[in-house]
Amino acid sequence: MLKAAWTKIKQVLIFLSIVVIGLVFLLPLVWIVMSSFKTRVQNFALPPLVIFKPTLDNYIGLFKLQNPAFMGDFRNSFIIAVISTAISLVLASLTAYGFSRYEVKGGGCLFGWILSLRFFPVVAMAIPMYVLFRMVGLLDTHVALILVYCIFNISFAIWFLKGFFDEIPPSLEEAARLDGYSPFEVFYKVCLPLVRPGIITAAIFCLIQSVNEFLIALSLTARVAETAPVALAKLQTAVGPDWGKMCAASTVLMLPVLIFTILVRNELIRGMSFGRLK
Amino acid sequence: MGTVELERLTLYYGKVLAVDDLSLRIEDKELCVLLGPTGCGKTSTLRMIAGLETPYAGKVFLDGKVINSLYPGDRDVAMVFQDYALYPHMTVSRQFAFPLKAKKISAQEIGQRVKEIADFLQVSDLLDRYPSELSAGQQQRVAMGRALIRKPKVFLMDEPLGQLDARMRVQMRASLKRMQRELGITTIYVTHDQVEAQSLGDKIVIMKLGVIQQVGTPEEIYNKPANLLVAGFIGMPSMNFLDCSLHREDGKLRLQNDHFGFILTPSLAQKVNNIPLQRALILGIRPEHIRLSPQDEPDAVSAEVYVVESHGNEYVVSLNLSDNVIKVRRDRKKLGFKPQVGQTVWAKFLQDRIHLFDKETEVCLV
Repeated sequence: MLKAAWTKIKQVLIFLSIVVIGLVFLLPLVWIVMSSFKTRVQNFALPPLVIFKPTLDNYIGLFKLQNPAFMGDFRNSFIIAVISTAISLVLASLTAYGFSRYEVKGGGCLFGWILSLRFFPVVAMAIPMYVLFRMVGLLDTHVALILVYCIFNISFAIWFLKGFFDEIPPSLEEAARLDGYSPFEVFYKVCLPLVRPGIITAAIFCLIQSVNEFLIALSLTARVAETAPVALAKLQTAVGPDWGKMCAASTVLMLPVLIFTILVRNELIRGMSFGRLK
Repeated sequence: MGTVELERLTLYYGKVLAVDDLSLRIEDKELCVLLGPTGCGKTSTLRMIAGLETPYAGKVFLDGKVINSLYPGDRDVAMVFQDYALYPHMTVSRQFAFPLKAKKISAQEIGQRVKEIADFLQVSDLLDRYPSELSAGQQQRVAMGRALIRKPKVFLMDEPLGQLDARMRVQMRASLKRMQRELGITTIYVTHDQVEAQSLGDKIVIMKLGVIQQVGTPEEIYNKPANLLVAGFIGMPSMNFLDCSLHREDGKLRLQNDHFGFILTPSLAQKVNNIPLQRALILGIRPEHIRLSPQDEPDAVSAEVYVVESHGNEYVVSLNLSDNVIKVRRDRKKLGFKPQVGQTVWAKFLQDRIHLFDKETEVCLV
C-alpha cells in the first residue's frame, strides 16, 4: 500500500520537474515574443509587465527600416541558409553513404578529421577567412557565406547521416542490385528514402546553424550580403538597444525554421516507423 | 533453360577459406539443395552464383555461358534472402513492380504481372500494405513474388523458411515444392535443416568447410552415405555410432568391441571382404533399424533403458550401452512392450542396414 502511494508520488514529482524545466527553457522565448509587442516604455517597466496592451509598431518599424535594412538582411539569411543546407545535404549524404558502405584506407582518421571541422573554433577562423576572401574578391557576397557555412554543415551532416546509413541492412541493397539497379540507383531509390528522417533532421540543424551564425557573417559582409544576426546587433540606437525591435527581429528570425519543423513533423514521425525494420 | 555449372569455385573471406575448389552441375528445372552446418560455405556458394561475391578462382556457367563478369542484375537470377530484404518504404505492389521498372517494361505489363503474381501467391488483398504490416509468412510470400516476377532462369533461396514457426515451415515446404514443379524453374536452395532438404530436394549437396561431401538424391544420401559426416547429419534422430572392429572366431566373422559383439550374417560377411581384421571401425546404425526385445536373443546386445520419449505413435528409446548412448525408434504397436527406465533390454541391429566407417578416414566402407 505504501509502496504504491510512493510510486504515484514519484510519478507526480517527475512530471512536475519536467514541466518546470520545460517552462524554464521556454520562458526566454516566450518573453522575447511578448516583448516584441510592447512599446519602448512598456519594455522598461518594473516589475516586468505580463498583461499589457500589445502594439504592432515594432514590426511595422522593422519592415520600414533602412539602416540596417532588416528585411533585406532577413532575405539574405534565408537564401544563404537554404542554399548552404541543400548543397551540404547532397554532398554529405553521398559521403556518409561512402563511409558507411565502403572500406576506405585510413577511413577512421578521415572521418574523425571531417568531424573535427565541426568543432573548430570559429573565432580562430574569422581573420584568415577575411584575408582569403578579400584575395579572391568575394567579400560581401552570398557565395562567401554559403561556402563557409558549408564547412560546418557538411561535416556535421556526414557524421549525422552515417549512423542512419549504417542502420540499413546490406541485404536490401543486394536485393536491389539483383533486381537490376546500378549502385547509384540503389543509393537513390532504396537508401535515400530510408534515411529521410535523418536527412530532414540534419536539414533542420543545418538551417538553424546557418541562420544563427554571427561572427563570420559580421567579418565577411558589409551591405550587400549582410545577414539578419548582424542586423540584429546593429539595432542599437543612440540611447541604447531598441528592445522592442530586437525582439521583433528575433521572433521573425525564428519563424521560418519553426514553421518548417512543424510542417515536417509528420515526415519525421512517419519516417521513424518505416525505419523500424523487422 | 536454366542449367548451372560451377567449375572449381574458390572463395576467401580475408584469410579464411570459405569455398574450396567446388565443382557442381545443376540441371534445368532441378531443385538442388545445398545442405550443411553453419559455416560450410553453402550461402557463399549461392552468393557467388548471384554475383554478390566475386570468386577468388573458378567459373560460374549459366546455360553454358560464363557469367562471372556479369553484374548481379544482368544474370537473370533472382534470390530470396533469409531476412526477406523487403523494401520497408514500399507497398507490396510497389515491391513487385520495382524489379520490372529497372528493365524498362511498360506500365501496363507491369500492372498485369503484378496482378498475376499476387494471385498466384495469394497476396492480392495485401497489395497496399507495407512490409511492417505483414506477418512473417506473408512477408516471405512477397519476397518470393518479388523474385519470381522477373521470370528468372534460376531461383536462389537462402534459408527462406528460417524465420517461420514450425507449423508454417511444414506448410510452406509443401507449397514450395509444388510451386517449383509448376513453374519448372531451376532452384538452388540453401538450408541447414536436413528434414527440409530431404522433403524438398531433387538433389542434395552436403557441404562442410567449403568442400562437397556428397551429392545425391534424398534416398541415396539416406541409404548410402559417403562418409561419417553425411551419415550423422541426415536422419532424425541421427545415426548411432559405435566403435568396433572385425574379428574372426571359430571361423565366423564378428563385429565387436569391449562391450558387445555379434556374428555377421552371410550377406554382411560378404560385404566386409576387403576390410582387414582388427582395423578400427565405426559401426553406424539408424535408430529405426534396431529391434528391441525384453528378452535375451541370439546376437543381441544388452543395454539399460535411459530415457523413453513418446513421439506420436512412436517411441524413441535412449539406451545406455556401457558409456555409449544409442537411440532406437520404433512404432509403438510393433514394439510390443513399453520400455521402463532402468529396464534391461536386448537390442538387435538389422544387419542389412549396418554401415561401417573407417575410423581414421571416416569414409563409408559398407
